[in-house]
Amino acid sequence: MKRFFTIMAFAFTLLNVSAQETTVDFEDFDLSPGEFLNGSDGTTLFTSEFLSLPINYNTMFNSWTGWAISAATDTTTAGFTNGFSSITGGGVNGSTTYATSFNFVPNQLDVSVETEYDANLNGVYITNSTYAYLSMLDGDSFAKKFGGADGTEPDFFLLTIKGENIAGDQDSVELYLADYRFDNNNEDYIVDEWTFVELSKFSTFNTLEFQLTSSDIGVYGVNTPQYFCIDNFTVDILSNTEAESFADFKVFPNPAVDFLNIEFKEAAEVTIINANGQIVLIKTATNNQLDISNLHSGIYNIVVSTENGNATRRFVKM
Amino acid sequence: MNRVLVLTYLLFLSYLSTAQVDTTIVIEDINITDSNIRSSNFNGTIIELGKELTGGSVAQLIEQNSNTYIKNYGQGSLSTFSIRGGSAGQSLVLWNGLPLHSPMLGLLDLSLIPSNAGDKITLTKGGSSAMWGSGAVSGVLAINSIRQEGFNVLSTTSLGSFGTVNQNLTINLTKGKWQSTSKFSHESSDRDFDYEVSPLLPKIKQTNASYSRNHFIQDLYFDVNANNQFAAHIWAYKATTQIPPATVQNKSVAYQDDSAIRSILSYKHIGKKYLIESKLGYFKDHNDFYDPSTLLEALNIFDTWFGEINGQLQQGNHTFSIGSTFNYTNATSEGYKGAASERKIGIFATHLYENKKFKIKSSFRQEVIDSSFVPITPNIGISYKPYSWVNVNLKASRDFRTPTLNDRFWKPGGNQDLLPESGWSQEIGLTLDKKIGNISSEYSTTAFHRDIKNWILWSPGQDVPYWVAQNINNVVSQGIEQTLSIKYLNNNVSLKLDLGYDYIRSEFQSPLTLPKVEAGDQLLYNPKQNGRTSLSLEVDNWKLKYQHSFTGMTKGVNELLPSFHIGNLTAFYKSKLGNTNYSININIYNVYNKRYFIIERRPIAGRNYNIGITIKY
Repeated sequence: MKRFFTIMAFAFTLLNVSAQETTVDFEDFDLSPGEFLNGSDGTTLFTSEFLSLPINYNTMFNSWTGWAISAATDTTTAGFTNGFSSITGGGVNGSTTYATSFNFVPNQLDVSVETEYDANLNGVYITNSTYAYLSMLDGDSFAKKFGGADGTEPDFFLLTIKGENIAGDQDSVELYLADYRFDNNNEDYIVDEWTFVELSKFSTFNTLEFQLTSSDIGVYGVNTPQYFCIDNFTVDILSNTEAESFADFKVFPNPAVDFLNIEFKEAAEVTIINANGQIVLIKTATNNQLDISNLHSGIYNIVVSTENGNATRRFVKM
Repeated sequence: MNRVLVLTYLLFLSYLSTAQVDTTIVIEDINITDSNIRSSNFNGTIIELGKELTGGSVAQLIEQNSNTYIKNYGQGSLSTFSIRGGSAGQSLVLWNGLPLHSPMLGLLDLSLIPSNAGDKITLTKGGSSAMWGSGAVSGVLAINSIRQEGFNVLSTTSLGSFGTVNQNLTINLTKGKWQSTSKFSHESSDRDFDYEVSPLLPKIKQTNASYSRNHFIQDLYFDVNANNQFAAHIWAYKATTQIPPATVQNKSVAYQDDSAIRSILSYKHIGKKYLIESKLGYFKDHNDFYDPSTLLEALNIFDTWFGEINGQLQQGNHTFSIGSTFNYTNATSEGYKGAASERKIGIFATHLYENKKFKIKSSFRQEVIDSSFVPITPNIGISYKPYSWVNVNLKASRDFRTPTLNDRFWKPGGNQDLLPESGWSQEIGLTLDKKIGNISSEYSTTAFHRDIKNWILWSPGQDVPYWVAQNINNVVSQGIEQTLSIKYLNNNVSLKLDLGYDYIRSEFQSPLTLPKVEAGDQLLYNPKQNGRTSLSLEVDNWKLKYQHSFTGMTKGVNELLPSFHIGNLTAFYKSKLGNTNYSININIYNVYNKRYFIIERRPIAGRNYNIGITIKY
C-alpha cells in the first residue's frame, strides 16, 4: 500500500514539473516542539493558505474535537493524554508542525484555492497519531491490538477522504492506516511514516470529509482511537508563463464518451493518466481527436508537454 | 493502613478489658440494626447464603449459592451482579441497613466485600424500593451483623492456586452489657495463571494481576437495659488491585487502590408493643486508578452521611411502621472538574396484617433528590398458605433507581435533568414444601414481569460532539425461576440435591444507533438462561459436594460470548479436639478445566485448587 502511494506521488510529480506547488505545511503557526493549539484560546477555525480547519473546544470540559495544530513530539506515551502527537514525532521530513484530527464523526476541512490560473489539488501526507498507533500495536483498556489475541484477525483502520470531484460528483480516496487483512501476516502493517495520498481527483473548491472506520467496532462504536495526522497539503498552480503558453489548450467534450477533442496551437506530446497514476495513453498531436472508447469510466488527467513546459487538464470518461 | 487497623484493634481490646462486668443481659433475638418489618420481604424470593467458603468474597458466595449471574473480570477483579435481568445498579447492597454502593457509579464491587463482612447475608429477589429507596429494583443483598453471645474465636486460613492466600479471624467477646465482634480479613493472590488464546500458540501467563485486600470490621453492642440498646459498626479496608492486560492487549501496568472507612451508630428502644430505631452513618471511600503507561490517574473520593429513624407499632394482627431517611453525599473527581453533591430525603410507611393463612404487606415511599420529587413508590405483597405445605405469593411494586453522580455531574456529558429509572413489577410465586419419612423436598417457582421506563444510557448528544447521559429507552424484564431441593436424612447420612433454573428475558424496547441496540435486544452481559445443580453427600464428619453451573450465551460489548458449563468439587471434614472445633476443606474449581469468558477479552483461570482449615474455639 505504501509503495502504491509512492508511485502515484512520483508519477504525478514528474508530469507537473513546471507547475508551481503551493503547500500548507502549518509551519506558519510558529509552534515550538511540544506545543499545540486546540482552540482553548477561543479559536474556532485554523486557516493557512487555502485550507480552513475547524476546531471545537469546550471550555467547560477542556475537551476538543476537530483539527488541532500540533508540534507534539511524544512517540512513546500511550493513551489519550498523548492526543496530539504524530507517530513520527513531528511533521513531514522532520518539520515541526502538522495537524491532528480527532472526532467521533467524520471530520471536515475546507479547501478554497483562490487563483486566476488553473490549479489542481495534488495531495496530502498522512500518518497515524501516537495514540492510535500504540493502541493498534499493543491494545488498551478499550481497543484491541490488531490481529487479535492470536495475531490472525483481519483488522484494519481505514481513512476515507470524500469530496466533490472535478465533474461535480461525490468521490473518495482511501488510505489504510493499518491493514492486517493479508493472508501472510508478515505483510500486516500499521502506518508509521508520512504517506502521500493523492487528491487530484477533487476540485479545488471543496469540503473534504475524513472518515475513519475500523474492524474493531462494538456496541459503543469504533474502539480504535479516531485520531490521525496530516501535513504538507499541496496544490499545483500553473505558472504565469505556463498559463499564457497553454491558454488555448482545451479538451472537450467533458465528460466524454468515446472521443475527446484536443485543441492546442502547437505540436505536443499528449499523455493520459488514470486516477491511480498510471499512464494509459501517450501520443504526439496538435488539434486532434483521441479515441478513448477503450478507457474505463473514471477521472483522467490529460497532460500536454511542449518546450515551454507541461499543462494538465482533467476530464471524465463516461 | 494495616498498622492503623492493628493499633485500632489493640486499643479496642484494652478498652474492653477494662469495661468487663459480670452482669449478663439476654437480648431478644432481633437484629439490633435491622427492623424486621422493613427487611421482611416474604413475598420476594429469599436466599440465605451459606457459609461453606473459607474466605473469599461475597461475589464468590453468591455465585456458588444462588443462580444469580455475577459479571466479573476474573478472581479478585471487579464483580457486579445482575438479579432478574436488572443492571448492576438496580441491585442494592446494604450493610446493616445502609447502602454500600458507590454514589458515583451506582454499583458496588462485590469482590471488595469479604464473605465474613456479615454474620447473615441474605439475597432477596424482587423490587423493594418502597422499603429501601433507590437501587432496590431487581433485588437486595443484605449483609447484617448479628450479635454473638459468649466468647469464641473463629479462624480460617486457606491457600490456593496462583499464590492465593486467605485469612480470616473473628473474635467474639461478651462481658456484661457489652458485646464485641472483631473481624480481620486478608486476601492476596498473584493470579498469574496460564491461559490459552489459540490451540496453535503457547499458553500465556497472566501478568500485572496481583491483588491484596485487608479488612477490619468491628461490631460493638451496649445494652443500657433490656429496652435500650446501642450498636456501633466500623469497617475499614484497603485494597490494591493490579489490572491485568486483556487477551488483546500486550501489556498493562495499571492498578487501582481502594480504601474506605464506614461507621454506623444505632440506637433501639424496645417497648411492649412498639419499637423505635435510629441510625447515623458515615461512609468515606477512595478509589484511585493509575496507569503509568498513559500517565492517566483518576482519583475519586466520596463521603456520605446517613440519618434514619424508624418506628414500629403492633396492634393485634396489625403492625405499622413509619420512618424517614436522609443521605448527603459529597464527591470529588477530576471527571466533575471539582466536587458534586447530592441530598436525598425519603419517608416511608408500611402496614402488615397477618393471620395463620394470610400475610398482607403494603408499603410506600416518597423520596426527594435535591429538590426533585421521585414518583411515589408503592409496594403490596400477599402471602397465602392454604395448607401447611403450600404457599402462594403475589406482589406488585413500583421501584426506581436515581441517576448516579456520574450520570448527573460528569463533564462532559453529565445531565442534571435526568429522570430516575422507574417502573412497575409484578410477580407470582408458589412454594411446595413436603416431608415424607426421611425425605424432605421443596419446590419453588416464581414468574415475574418488570417494565422500567427512562432507562439511562450514555449516547452521542444531539447538538454536542460528546456522549451524554440520557433517558432514552425502556427495558422489559420477564422470566421464570425454579428451584427444587430434595434431602434424604438418615442418622448420620445426608444426601441433598439442589436444582435451579432461571429463564429471563430482559430486553430493550427501542432501537438506538449508539449504543447500537435493536428493539428486543437482550441487555449486555445478561444471560437468558442460568442453571445450577449441586449434589452433596454427608456421612459422619465427612462431606462431599459437587456443583455444576450453566450460564447461557451473553452479548458483550464487542462480541457474543458462548454459553459455558462449570463444575466445582468440595471435600469437607470436621472434627473436635477438646473445646476446639475444626474443619478442613479441599476445593477444586473449574474441574473440567474449561476455557470460558464472562467478560470478553478477560481470561478466567482453568482448573485450580484451594485448601482451607477452620478452627473455632
